[in-house]
Amino acid sequence: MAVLTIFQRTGKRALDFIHELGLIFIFFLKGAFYSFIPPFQFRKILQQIYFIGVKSIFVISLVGIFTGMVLGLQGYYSLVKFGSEGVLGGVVALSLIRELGPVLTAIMIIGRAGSSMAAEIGIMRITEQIDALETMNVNSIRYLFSPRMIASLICFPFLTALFDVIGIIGGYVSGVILLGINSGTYISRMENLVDLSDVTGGFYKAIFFGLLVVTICCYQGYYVHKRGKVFGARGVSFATTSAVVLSCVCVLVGDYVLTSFLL
Amino acid sequence: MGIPLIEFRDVSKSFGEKKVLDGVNLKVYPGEVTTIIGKSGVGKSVTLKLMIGLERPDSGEILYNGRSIFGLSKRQRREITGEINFMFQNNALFDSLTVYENIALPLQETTRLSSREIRDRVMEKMEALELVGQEDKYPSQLSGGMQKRVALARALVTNPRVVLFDEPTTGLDPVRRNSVLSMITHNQQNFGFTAVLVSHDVPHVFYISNRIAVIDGGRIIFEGSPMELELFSHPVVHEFINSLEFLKNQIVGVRTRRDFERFFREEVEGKEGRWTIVVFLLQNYNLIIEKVGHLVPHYIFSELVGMCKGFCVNNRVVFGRYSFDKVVLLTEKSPQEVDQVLSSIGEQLKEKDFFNEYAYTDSCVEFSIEAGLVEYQKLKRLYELVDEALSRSRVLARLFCGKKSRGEEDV
Repeated sequence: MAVLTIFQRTGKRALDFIHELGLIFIFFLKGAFYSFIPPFQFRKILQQIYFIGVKSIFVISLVGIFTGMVLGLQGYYSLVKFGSEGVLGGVVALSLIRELGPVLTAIMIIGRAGSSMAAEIGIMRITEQIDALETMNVNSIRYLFSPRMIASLICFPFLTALFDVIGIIGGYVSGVILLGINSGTYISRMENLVDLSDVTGGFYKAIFFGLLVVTICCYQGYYVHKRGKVFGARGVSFATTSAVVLSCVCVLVGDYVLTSFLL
Repeated sequence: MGIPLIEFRDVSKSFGEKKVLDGVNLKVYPGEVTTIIGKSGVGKSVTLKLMIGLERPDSGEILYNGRSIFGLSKRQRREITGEINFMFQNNALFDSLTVYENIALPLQETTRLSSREIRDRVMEKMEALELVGQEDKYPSQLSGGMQKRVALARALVTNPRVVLFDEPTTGLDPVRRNSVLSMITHNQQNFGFTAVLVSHDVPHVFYISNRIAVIDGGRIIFEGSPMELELFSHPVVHEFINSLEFLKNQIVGVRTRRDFERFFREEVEGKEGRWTIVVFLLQNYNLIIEKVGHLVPHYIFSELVGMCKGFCVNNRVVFGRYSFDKVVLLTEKSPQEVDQVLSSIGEQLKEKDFFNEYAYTDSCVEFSIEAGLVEYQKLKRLYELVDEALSRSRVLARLFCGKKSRGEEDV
């Protein structure tokens, strides 16, 4: 019966989704476990810090400054209606530190490094390079995923902090320099309104997003051969797309969940 | 031979609905080169992947030194797989790493050797495989043959106990192919590792193998020495051993002797029907091969068969390669008609390049094509009819070196 088929399909999709979630979690646990087993892969971790972190500095700075400037601009014209433009500094800083910093940083890194991870590992999978590692008794998850996980844990908070600082500077540029708010007011309001808990909350989000993004992107590349009916280059392309989309969605959903816990 | 180092007992493996291996029993002995041959897609590479643990069997047992691999702990399995290396068909080189880094990786990741020791081992293998000077290149900058050698160097750098080679010579030119096979043999003899090859390079691999296993229909249909293989009677085995002859026969359009005899038994022997048997003999075949080359006899028979087919368009005609220098024709034309055809063929043959002495620069060999015919008689076997036809043969065309070639009526 058609009705039963709909139920069957829905049920199957739900079960497949939960199964995949489980696999991703197991993948994450394996990566985390191997990260703490010596010998430690310092060289590879440094390479990944350079790739994920250092090479993202420019794009994070660029996005940060313009985000701050837009926040300053929009914030001023909203607050001036209530005569509260003086709190602009606090508003810009809080918005960035609590939400926009961690989320936009994560999304930019997804676009730059996350897609690259998925593609690189996916291509290694389809060209049997991962199999070659296994035949050499080299644990492929330890070799490929663990260094990226450690590097993400280090880079995400730093890049988020960079985004926040540059964003605040951007807000200063638009609010103080362009729109004429008093600079002392801008900075003092920022000092008054921003708590340590806001900063630590943003820090926790950055770490959480870092682990989420690296796990999803590496998982998609690592298991590209199990996608089913899509193989070869097209499989890698699908894996990369899935990595980016899934990571972005999970970051936004995770942001809501974390925010509800932190507030 | 002793206890097998690797043993498959009733191993089966399916991918989806396709059963690739169906109760495979195979033994690999230590210190030997075992080659697995078979048509494409029969499961040779899968067999290798099962040996190294990249795939798990659906049923059956895989034993290493008498112990089942999958009954061991993960640590014990890792110890076993640590003794086995694999060389992939498509090389599976790490394309983001240089040649040096590719070869050094197994040592860097699985040993505690110092950088200097690693460098020495890597350079030793690079020298043996003529890769010196390529250290800083990336795999995409190398030719296919060089990539193969890098993959080989990587497989051998840890001095493993067992090395599995998945078509190590595919894509290589004949010179490099021989070099790779010879390298495998010499390294195997020097270091004493057990080698398992999957290869299509027949019969070249027979010269380096101690044991051959033939897979067909998901099962091992033969397992033994190369000499035992030559004596083994099976159509698939026969086709592999004589693959070059099979190719020549297919191109020329003749059946193998075995197929021709089967046709004769099933369609001609004891049945009503008028058949004429013609035997074409290429005199001095061995001398042509020795002095001129292998291709000239192939062209001669190819032309001959083409001419006969042209003359026998409206009649059933079957060709068979009776031996290296003889082709047998079965036709429903009468002996008189065939005799006329043979005369025409003789005239046409004289015009061909291979009967022109000037076509041979300094290796002219005198030879002739003879033909004899006999009408099929019941109660006579094929070989008797062939002998009778040969006894009545006449020269269709002859090449004289230093003189003009001419046809003669009788030998």
